[in-house]
Amino acid sequence: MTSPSEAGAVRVRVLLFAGLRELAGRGELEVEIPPGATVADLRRAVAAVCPELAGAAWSLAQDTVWCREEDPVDPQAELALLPPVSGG
Amino acid sequence: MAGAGPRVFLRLVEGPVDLDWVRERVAGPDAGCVVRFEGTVRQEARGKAVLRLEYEAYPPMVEAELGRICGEILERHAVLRIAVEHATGRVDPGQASVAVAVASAHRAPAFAAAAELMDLLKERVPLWKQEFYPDGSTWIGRGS
Repeated sequence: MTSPSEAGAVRVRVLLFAGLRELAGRGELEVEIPPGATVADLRRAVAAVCPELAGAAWSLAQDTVWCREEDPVDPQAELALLPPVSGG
Repeated sequence: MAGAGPRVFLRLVEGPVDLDWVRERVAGPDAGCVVRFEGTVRQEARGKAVLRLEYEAYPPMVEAELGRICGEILERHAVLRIAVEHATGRVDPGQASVAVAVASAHRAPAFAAAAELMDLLKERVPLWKQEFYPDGSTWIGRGS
């Protein structure tokens, strides 16, 4: 779900889980990222919109695949912020 | 040799896992063994009494990532079939939160596959546990 915004920024929705959801007090966030943004750019945008998540540990998954910090963010993908996992 | 049917079986369930489900998925006349693992909830963690756990999942990615992991295991180990079941929601001490079954012709690959599968599950699959104590609760793995 995206829409054009100022300076070519793209609005994206990110899902939050577990401790992140609790810190933010909600299960998803909308943030604006610049065109060609990486995961690192998304991290800054998330902290700006939701200061409770600044400094929180998370990795991005795009369409259910783990990403690295330097990967580009696909605004069309399902974006999920995943804290360190603890299953089992 | 494996038969023509599916070789990987995955599911999330609400509450403790049903240990029979994984065994029934993988058992068959081509198997010489079924190695089963169950992870159970301990009543104590980091010196604190644990009253219960609550598991949260990102279901579509649990299925996707477990599917990729099981694919890797099938490539690396001579096993026939793999089944994994994981709990969501509440699980009490003594109850099982995860069950794995691996069928193979001979036991060594099944033991190795089950152990590696659990290592990878704990490292890569988007599941989270919250521990509840007499005086509060903590998300495990939240980081800081």
